[in-house]
This record gives sequence, C-alpha cells and structure tokens, in this order.
Amino acid sequence: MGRSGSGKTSMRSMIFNNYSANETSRLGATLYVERTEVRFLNNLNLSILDCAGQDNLMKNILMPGNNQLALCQVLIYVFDVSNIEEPKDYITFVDVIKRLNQTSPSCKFFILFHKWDLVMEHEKETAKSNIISALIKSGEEIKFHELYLNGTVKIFTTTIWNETLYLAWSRVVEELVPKANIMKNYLKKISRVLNAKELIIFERKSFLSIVSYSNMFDQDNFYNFNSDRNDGYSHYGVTADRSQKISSIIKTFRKSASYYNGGKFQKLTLHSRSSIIYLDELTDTMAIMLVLPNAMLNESPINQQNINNGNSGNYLQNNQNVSSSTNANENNSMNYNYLNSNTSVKNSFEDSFIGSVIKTARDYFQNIDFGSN
Amino acid sequence: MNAHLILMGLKRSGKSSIVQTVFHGAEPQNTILLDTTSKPTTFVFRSLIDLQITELPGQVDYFQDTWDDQDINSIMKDVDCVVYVIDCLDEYKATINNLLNVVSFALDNCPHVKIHVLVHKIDGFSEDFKPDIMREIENQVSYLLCEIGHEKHIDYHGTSIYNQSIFEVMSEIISNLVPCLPSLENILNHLVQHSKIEKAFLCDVKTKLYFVTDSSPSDSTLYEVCSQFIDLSVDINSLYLPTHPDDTDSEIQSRKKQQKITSHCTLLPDMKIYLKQMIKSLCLVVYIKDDQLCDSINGQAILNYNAKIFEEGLAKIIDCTNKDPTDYNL
Repeated sequence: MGRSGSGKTSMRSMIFNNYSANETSRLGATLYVERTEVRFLNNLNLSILDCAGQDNLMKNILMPGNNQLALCQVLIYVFDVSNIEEPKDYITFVDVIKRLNQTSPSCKFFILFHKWDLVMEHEKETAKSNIISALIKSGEEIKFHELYLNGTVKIFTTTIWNETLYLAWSRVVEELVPKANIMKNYLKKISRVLNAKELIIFERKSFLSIVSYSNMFDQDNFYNFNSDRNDGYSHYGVTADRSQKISSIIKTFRKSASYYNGGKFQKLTLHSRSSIIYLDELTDTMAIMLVLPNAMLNESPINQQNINNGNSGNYLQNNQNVSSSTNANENNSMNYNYLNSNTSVKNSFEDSFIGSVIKTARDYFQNIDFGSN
Repeated sequence: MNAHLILMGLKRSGKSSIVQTVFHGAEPQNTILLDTTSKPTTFVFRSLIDLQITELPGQVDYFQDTWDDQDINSIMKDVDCVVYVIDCLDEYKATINNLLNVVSFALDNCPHVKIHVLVHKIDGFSEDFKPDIMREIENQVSYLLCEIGHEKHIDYHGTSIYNQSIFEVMSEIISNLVPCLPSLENILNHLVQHSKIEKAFLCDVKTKLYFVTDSSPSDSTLYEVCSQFIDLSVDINSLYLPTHPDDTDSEIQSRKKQQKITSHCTLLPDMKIYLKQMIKSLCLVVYIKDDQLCDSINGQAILNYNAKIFEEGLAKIIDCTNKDPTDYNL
C-alpha cells in the first residue's frame, strides 16, 4: 500500500513481470485492488494485493466491512520520499496499521522509503531520521516505536534504478518462505562437501534470493564477522548486498537473451583465477548458485580418493536421506594428476562433478513441501 | 600497433556523447548533460591496438582564414581515419558543406585516410524512413563531391547511442584499422570451422567493441547478447574477487585484468554462449547452436582446447606485427 503515484505497481512489475526500470513509466494508475497469484516455491503460492492509493479508494479498502486485507502476512507500505504530505500521509499509514492489527494480527510490516535516488546524497541521513521520527510521533497510538525496535517493522530505502529494490524484496520474501532453516542446513552440507565460499538459492522467476549460506568471512575484511555467530548464517551484510547485485545482473541479461530467438537463460558456468561459479536451475521454481575457490579439488575435504571412486553423491547421501543417487559419477574416475596438469580437461571435469552434486540437491529440494507448515 | 582516429562534426551533433557511451561506459541517457567540448581533446584507447582518438569541437570552422592553418595540418598529419558525425534530426545543409570541406582537405593532404560518415541520432526516425534519410545524405554528398571534382569512397552508417548500432559501427570502423586483420580473421575462421561454432567475436572486455569476427553474416541482437554476456561474466566474477584491506584502486584493477575468466551459459532450447578472456584485455565470445558438442565433457574440453590454441595464435600474430610492421600478413 501507499499513496497514489508512489511506485507500487512499478515495483511489482519489475520484480514479478520482468519490466525494466525504463518501461515502468508506461504503467497507468491502479484502481481498487489488483490481485496477482504467483507460483513461488514448489507448491507455495504467493498472492500479491496491489492496492490503489487514491484517498477515497484507500478509505474504501480500510472500511470495517472489507475483508480484502484479512489474513495478510506481510504489508509493504511505500512512501514516496520526494513528495510527502504531512501530516496526511502519516495519518493514513497509522490507519492502515490499525486496521491490519484487527484483521491479521501476525502481520509483519515493511516500510519502503521509495524514490530514494531523488534525495540529495548529503541529505539522505537527515531525511531518513526525519521521516522515522515523524512516524514515531504520529504512531504513538499504535506503539510504532516499540514495533520498530523489536523488528516487527523494518525500514528500507529503495529505488527502482538500482539493486536496493531487490534487497528490500528479498527480505520480504525471506520473511514469507517457510522451512528456510531446512534449506540452509542443506546448503551448509553442500558447502562442506565442496568447500564452497558461498551458496545462494534464488526464486527463478523473480530472481530474488531466498536462502544463502556464506563461508567468506575468513578472507573478506569488509565482512562484519563477529565471533559469537560462527554458524555461518549470513546476516544483513555483504552476502545480501552481493545477491541483490546478482539478481539485477541476471535479470538484465535474461531479458536481452530472450530477444534473440527467445533464448531462455538456463545455466552459467564461470572459471576464473580466483573463483569458480555455477548457476543452475534447481527445481521448476528455484535456481542455485555455487561459488567455490579456484583450488577446489586440492583443498576440498573430498580428497583424491573420493573423486577417483566417484562417490560425490554418496558423500551427501551419508549425511542425508536423499533417495536417489547419481549415475553421472561413472565417468568421473579419471587420473587426478592428469587433471591438474591440463586445465581445460580439469575445468570440464569439475563441471560434471558439480553437475552431479547439483543433481543430488535437486532431488532433495524438489521434495520440500512448502505448502504445509 | 597504433592508429589515429579523428571525430568531427558540427556542434551538438553528438560526438562527446559517442565517446562517453562507447569508450567510458556512460549511460546514454546521462550524456545529454555533457558540456560542449571547447578544444580538441585526445585520449588513447588501449586494447588490441593503441588507438588515439581526437575529438574536435564543432563550433570552430577549421578551414577559414582566421583559424590557424598550421594547427589543422598538424592535427591531420598522421591520421588514419576520420569519423564525421551528422545530426540527421537537424537541418543538415550546413553540415554537408562542412563535410565537403573536410573531405577535400583530407584528399589534398592525406589521400590514404579512411572517411566514415555517421548519420547520427537516426533513432528519431521510424524504421521506414531510415533508408531514405541515409540515401538522401549519401546522394547529396557524392553529387557535390563530384561537382568540385573529387572522387573518394566514403562509408555511411546510421547510428544511435540508444541502441547497439553505435557499438557495431565503431567496431567496424576500428577493426578496419587493425593492421593484421586478415590473419586474425583467418585463424578465427579456422576456430569456427573446427569447433562447430556459429558466430565468434574477439571483443575488448571493457568497451565490448569487437575487433575481429568470423566471416559468417552478423546479427545485431546476437552481438548484443554476447556483449551483455561479457558484462555478466565480469560483473559476477568481480563480486567474488578476494580483497585485502590495503588494496589500492589500481591493484584491484590489475587483479581484475589477470582474472582470465572462462565462462559459458546455456540458453534454452539449444543455444550456448562461451567466453574466454585472453591477452591484452581481449576476450573471445562464441555462440554455439548445436548443444550436443557442449554438453558432453569431451565437447567442452575440445572447445577449451581450441580456444587455447587460438589464444596462442593470437599472441604470435600480435608479436610478429609489433616486430615488423611491414609484414602484416605473415
């Protein structure tokens, strides 16, 4: 929700309908409530209610008899920071929260300070704190300050012109995805097998990151690693930042690729001196990205013997009840020394090895049931 | 290998925008904010060849008496190529007179120079009118040239910074300045034939301009996808560069250059793009239609191997050309 012209539909079109930022200028105003159903993960459906922002329509939606907002799990409220009407905008916002507290008590709130690129660089800090204090002031009734401090309300500054949009939406989606811990644990397992630097799972259509697992704090000085959180869970640090960049890069490429004979982006393999990166589809709705340091075969806990016996799939199986094993390992019994001496063959060998790991992971993720709790 | 290119044209025809978009990676939308260039500016684009690019401001008439004659002579002395930009949305009569002056000056003083005319901002016309505009300008210029008794082959290109056309045209212009082009084309053709490749480009990583392509017909959407793929590979890899606290910018830059990326992506149903970074900030980008070759572990290795041989050949050719500039074609 948010006032008319604040950019709600533009945002939705970019995330879910593959619009580019320029194309959103073509969109017209939304009238009443536009409801979209998106098949998100396996059997998890997402319904998105894009509400109109004109005053009288908004009043209509908030009327006591209207059940549109019942049982909503996340509210995204958009403020157009370049154009805030005080105190009307804040009053409307408080009304919305009040209404939601009645209809769906467990709802989480995300507030986006949108069109953030229009705020001058040196005014950003003050602008943000000004709006927050104004919200706290007008939100006394709903205890806004408390909600803000305990994390029920999260605030992001966004613009459709850079990846901050994806950052905010990934947070929203992470809030909605059940069983994130199961997925994260599995990623941790793969990471142990491959000695991976980072693993990220994306939703395929919107390319928002859902879960990530990172091992990078040992070498990244900028990664704010604190010792009591050595479980490797990525917090809102650099991993998040990176995955948004990837979302935006991949979406741009996917779009231009589709202009050429309708090419659909499927997978990417990249070898460079510092890292090896794989991006592949995991299920119909998920894609996985693996980043390994480029000395994978030497440092990995799967040593030479394991590779020669071709039991990468088994390694995962021992830790996890994954039902099917892989056949791709049959041709993996190559001479390790030979691999090291010949880069081109080594690269392709690694590719097929990772391929088999992804295949095992695919079976696992396909069977996750997101529909039931 | 050096070459010298001059960009000319009346003021506000879009010369600085072209330079910013193509060589400095600026967003086309942002170039409307550029200031007018007031004096000749030169920079060197270092890649396969070291190309010196001079941009002459448009508001000065270089062929009037008041303008120091010595100056234009010294500027034009060792020029290999003149690129003249015409704003086709504007009244172009004055431009054509100016162009005629440039051409006749060039013919008198340095007859070997290559002249290219960019019919710029052509995105302002609908698809149907584009050929008409091009033909009109072409006819007028050649008629007037004939009248003053000159004969010179001039290439005409329709361009716009808002699509891929400016990159394609600049690639074409610059690749004609590469001294060892025939031999490079030759080895690229060999690579294409022996690796079941549909189309191959040898590009500059930073600007995405291509210097060499194989002899099969080119397709601008394919080129766009390929250049986007270079961006994708470089960007994604740079997210995972190892960093150290006391890195300077230049150190990071040099590390980026040494990355030697090899990447490939699959586009359903049956396409594949393969990229390999090579010497001198060049990269080879190839497009493969037949997926069977690439899916097998052997096929991938063959492609890697062939690309490696190509890189060696490329290094040898560059080496030879640098040593003995008279023997271009080996």
